[in-house]
This record gives sequence, C-alpha cells and structure tokens, in this order.
Amino acid sequence: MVDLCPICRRPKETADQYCALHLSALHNLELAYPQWNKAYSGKLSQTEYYKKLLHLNETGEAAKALIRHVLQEFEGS
Amino acid sequence: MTTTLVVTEKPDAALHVAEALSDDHQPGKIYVNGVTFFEITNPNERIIVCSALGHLYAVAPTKTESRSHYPVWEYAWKPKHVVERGQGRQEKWIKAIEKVSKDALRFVDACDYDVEGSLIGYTILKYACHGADAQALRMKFSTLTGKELRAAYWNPLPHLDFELAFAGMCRHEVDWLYGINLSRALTQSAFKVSKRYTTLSTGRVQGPTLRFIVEREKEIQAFVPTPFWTLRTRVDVDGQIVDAEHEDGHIESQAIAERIVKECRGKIGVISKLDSSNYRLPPPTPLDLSTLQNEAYRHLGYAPRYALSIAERLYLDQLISYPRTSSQKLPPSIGYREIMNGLAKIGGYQQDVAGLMITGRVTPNEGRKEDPAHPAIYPTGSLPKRSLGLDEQRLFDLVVRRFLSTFGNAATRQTNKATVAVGQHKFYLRGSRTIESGWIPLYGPYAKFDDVTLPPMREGQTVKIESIRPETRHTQPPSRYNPSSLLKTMEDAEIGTKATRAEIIDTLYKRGYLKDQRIAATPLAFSIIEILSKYCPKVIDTTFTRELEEKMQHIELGEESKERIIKETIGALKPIIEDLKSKEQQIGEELNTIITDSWLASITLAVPCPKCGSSLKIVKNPRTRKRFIGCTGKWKSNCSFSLPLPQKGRLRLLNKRCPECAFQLIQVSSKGRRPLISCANCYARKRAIIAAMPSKSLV
Repeated sequence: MVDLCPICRRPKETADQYCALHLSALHNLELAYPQWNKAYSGKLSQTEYYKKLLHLNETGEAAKALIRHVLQEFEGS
Repeated sequence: MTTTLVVTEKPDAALHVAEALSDDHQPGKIYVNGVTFFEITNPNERIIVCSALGHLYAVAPTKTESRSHYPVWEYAWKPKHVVERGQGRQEKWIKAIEKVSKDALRFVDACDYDVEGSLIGYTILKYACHGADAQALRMKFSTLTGKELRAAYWNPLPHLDFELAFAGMCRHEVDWLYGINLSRALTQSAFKVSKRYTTLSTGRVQGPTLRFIVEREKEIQAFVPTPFWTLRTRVDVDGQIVDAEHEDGHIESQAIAERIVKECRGKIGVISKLDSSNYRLPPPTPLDLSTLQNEAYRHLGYAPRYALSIAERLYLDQLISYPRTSSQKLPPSIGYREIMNGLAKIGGYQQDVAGLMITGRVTPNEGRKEDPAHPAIYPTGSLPKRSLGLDEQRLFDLVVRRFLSTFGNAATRQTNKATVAVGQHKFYLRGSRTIESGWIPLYGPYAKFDDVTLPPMREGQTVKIESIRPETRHTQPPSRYNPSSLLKTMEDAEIGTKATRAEIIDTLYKRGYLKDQRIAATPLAFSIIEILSKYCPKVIDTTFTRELEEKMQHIELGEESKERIIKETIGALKPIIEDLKSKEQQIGEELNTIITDSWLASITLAVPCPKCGSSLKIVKNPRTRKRFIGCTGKWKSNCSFSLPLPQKGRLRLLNKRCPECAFQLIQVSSKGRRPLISCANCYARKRAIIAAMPSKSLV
C-alpha cells in the first residue's frame, strides 16, 4: 500500500507527515512567520497569522489547505 | 524529352513552383489517382510538379503487435496511412507520386529548406520514387516568389541536404522511442490497477517542459506571502500634483510606515537634487520565429502555434519569407529597396517607406542569431492576391512594421528624477519622455512607451507633501507561464526545436496536464512528474535532453552519425523502461487515485439535481449506448431527472454557468469544428416547449 498525504491523498514518504507539496508549504509557513510577526511589532499570534493568510489571494492553495488542516486539528485537540 | 519530377511539401507550394517555372504563369493540371499535380512542357523538358501533404511517412514498429506492448526497440519508416488511422488522403497521394515518378529521369526536391522539409522530401524520393534520393537535386529558397523559385530551380544544389534529412530522421526516431516506451509504461501501469484505459503520455521534450510548469505550480501553490508597506505620496509642485515614492520603497513594518507618515504629513520639503539622463534605444532586430511568436502573443494575443500557422499561410501566399527560422539577419541579397517599393504600394505603409528612404539607414539593425538555412522573417513586398482575414492582416502588419523599424534610426529617451528632502526623509519624483522618436513610429502600435512629464523645477525650491498614507501590500507568488513565456523558457533551456515547441505545449493541453491561458498544472500533471522524478529522473532532466539536442545538431553539421545517437538512446532507455516495467503495480497504485479523481471530476457536474439535490453525472444508457445527464438519486430516492446531451464529439464540463439558468455549461469539441458551448438545461427546456406546441395544419 502507498502512504497518502492526509490533505490531498497524494503519495508521501512514510517518514513524512505530508506529501512533498504540503511539506514545502509547511516550510514556507514556518519561514514567513517571523517576518509577519516583526511586521506587526511582535504582536501577531500564530492563529492570527494563519487567519490573515487564509484571506489573501496571494497565499497558495496548498498553503491554504495546510492551514485549514492545521486549524482543524488544533480545534479538535 | 526528359521528364523532371519536382517534389514540394504542400499543394499551395506546388502551385507557386509550377507558376514560377511556366512561361505564361499558367501551368497545366494533371490528375493522377484523383490527385491534382502540375505540368509544364518546354521544348526540351517536361516538368511535373507534385506535392506532399506534409509528412507522408512515419516511424512505426517493425512487427505488428498489440498497442499496449512494450518495450519496443525495432522500428521502420512506413507510409503514414499504414501507421495511423484516418490518413486515407496520404495513401492516395503516395500512389499518385509513385505513378508519376515512373516516367521521370530527373528529380528535384523543392520542399522547405529545413530539417522537417528536408526529411519530407527525402522520404518521398527514397520510398515513393524508388531510391531517387541518391540522384535528386535540391532547390534552396526562402520565399515562394517567382523570382526566387526560378533562381533556385535553375541553380539547384547538386544533391539532397542529407545531413538535415538525417538529423530530422534521428529526431523522429529518438522521439518515437521515448514516446512509445514511456507512454505505454505509464498507460499500462495505470490500467493494471485501475482497469480503466487512460492515455498517459510523456516524451523527450514533453517531460522536461511539463516539469517546468509543475515546478512553477508547486511554488505558486505552496507560496506564503509576507507583508510590506508602501507610502502613497503626492507632492504639490507650484500647484501641480505629482506622485512621489519614499526612498525606502518597501517598508517591512507597519509601525515604521506609520511613523514616517506622521513625520511627513503636511510638511514642506525642499528639492535637494535634480538628475536627468538620456539613453539610446536602438531599433529592434529582425524577426526570428520565437520573437515573432512572442510579439504576436504580447500585442495580438495569438498563441504561439496559431501565430505560426498564420505565418505559414502568409508564406504560402508569397507575402512573407519562410517563418521557421532562427535568424535575426537580413542579407542585402533579399533586395531591401525592391521590398520597400512593393510595401509602398500597400495602403498604410506609403508614408513610412517614403520617410525611411529619406532619413533611414541603408542596412537593418541585425541581431546576433543566425540560421544557415534562412534569413530572418521579412515581407516579400508582394501585394496580397486575396482578401486577408483579420488575424492574417494583423500578423502581416506586425511583420511589415518590424521590418521597417529595423531600418529606422535609434530613438532617444530621457529620464528625470527630483529628490525632495522632508526632514530626514527623502522622496523621489520620476519622469520619462521620448526626445527623438527614431524608429518608434515605424513600429506603430507595437512600440509603447508611457511618458510622464515632470513640471519645471529647480534645486532649493520648496514643495508641499499634499497627501501621504501607508498602503499594506504583500509579496507576490511567481507568475504563471503563458504559452509565450513557456516557449521562451523552452528556447532558453535549448529543448525542442523552433518547429516543434508550440506543438508540444498543445499536446500537454490535450493530455489534460495543463489548463487555462495562464498555464496551471492539473493534479494529473503533478502525479506524472512525481512518478517520473521518482522512477526515471533522467527523462525529465533538462541537461540530458539538451545534450541529446546538441548531438542531433551535430548531425546537421555532418559531425555526428545518426546510428550512433540511436544506439546511445536505446542504451540509455533500455534499463529505464525495464525498471518501469518491473514496477508497474507500484506506479499504477500511485496513479490510480488521481486518475479516478480526474475521471470522476470529468463526469460529475458541479450543480446539484434541481429535483432532489443529489449529484448529477454524465452517464451512458447500457442498452442504447446514448449519453445523457442522469441523477445519482435514482437509486436512493428514485429521482428520474435527466437531460439530453449531444451524441457526437468530446464533452468537457466547463467552470462556467449559463447566464439564463445558472446550470453548468458543457463544451462539445469535434475534429475540424469550432468547440460549441451549450447549456443542457436550456436545450431540454426549449425542446419541451417546441414539443408542446400544436402542430401546424397543412390546410
């Protein structure tokens, strides 16, 4: 059986959490947060950051899908 | 009397060659097996001018085996009608050429002088004219004008351009080996698991091209923007309002942006510095094919393949030179003055030509690129013999204006910058304008420059910040390719040829790997590239493809043998294909999900059933085999909602709604016809209204 990404059902490496595309989106999300936080004088929470990104046209679809997945998991826990 | 057989590439070209060789420009027609050829009889020579229909021969497996069988390493050149379905015309043409070739003692190849043209001529002379390739002469020309065709006929090259033909053969054979083996490996792997037949293809150039698009798509989809602020500033200079920009441009923090606004709002500034510089804009270079395709896309919105097809029509109409060229050179031998005189007779160019004759340069501003076979694209100066369609007129105008502008003088533009100091902050006011127009008016609507004129200013003058406010902006994802920029990327990466690149882009659309004009990769394209990267990265590696391309170019120069490259290709492909075959199950499983999803998406409508709310699907009646839109609620709630569909043509569900009833629109495409977009719901409603009308009495 092929291991599938929980977001898009595309094959993923067993050790990874997501497929290559969503891993790349995760990497970009982590990289951009310090810049966003600095831009808003260190007052931006991670959840606010995610919500702002969901409303922007520039945010990629894979990044948005990942954010929705993370927010859903966060709300479920 | 000697009979000479002249072989041309297309019927239109045959007519032009025959007209050029006939004294009264009215060659006789002969009908062979229902095919029209031309005949010219001189006192010493009977000339028959026959035409092909593009390629009449193609590569095919030596043995006839199932279409799913692979790997296939043995092949031969066979008549196209034997290899492909629906090529009945080609069969008639081959038989007609075979028949006329029996009487001929002298053979002349008058196909287009490039790799494809040389291959078309070579295969016809070798296979249909029973080995006449060895004795045939070669005409070399770049326009279909009578003067050039006569010169090419009376001064032919002593033998065929075998290097070009062999380079073409090698390209076809290598591409066939790649295409058939890789595509069958993918298709069979998918079939093994899904039990559903889906044509999946990849190829030597297709793979790396698709990879460019998928990689760009990945960047766009995984893109996370970051914020920055700009200051929208307007400065009052002696009552005239001018836009200004803050020296920092992009400000990374909202607090800093707000602080600058606070410090500058309503303040008086001083013009601390005035800068002005002029720069020369040399005239554009003559058009090679890719520049023509790029300009046609940019200014006229024509896709590269469409632009090429129009250019070929204009070439066949003797209006422009051969368009499949990489050259940016226009040698004096084309006769600049004669062309200009011809263009002066066409309405709209008279004044420009007259102006050029007085003030223009004697030679064009040539570019660096060269092509040993043809010069750059230029108008022949001939007048159109028929009324051109709108798109043809536009492309012709682009070619003419580009040609004229290459003879124009350099233009001069001026940029102006004023620095305004407001406390510790600096703002810039920028302007630009054309001082000497030079070649710009000659290029007409295709040369656009925005002029911004600044008011008169002096250093030390005071100005007022009329308004300033911060604007939140975000970094942008990389832009999507369009057909023109993708073509440019392929050219820069040196993959494919000027003749094949546009066609490859089209194939990627047809396979369902790409969608939209701003090219987006579909989920199927992602899967194909993921699988190829995982199991055979070499076939999507640009370097590998480029190296092969270079080797094939060496054949054109006579520095490499076709046989050696084919041997190398098979040597490189064999282990890859064997490995793919051993992993069919695994690859099939990876493809299965996406194929099922794509298939379901292709038959499931985005609008729900108006009766019960269940989803609607395109289905086929198992008894009558007729297709229609049916409701999936049939089994749950016995919903009987259905809509009729056209029974012929390929259906595609569009992401568009009917303006009348908001039902999802469907596109029907049939070969040789324009796609038809229709609403199944409105069609059914109108049909019901007509059916309910009382039938008219005959009395």
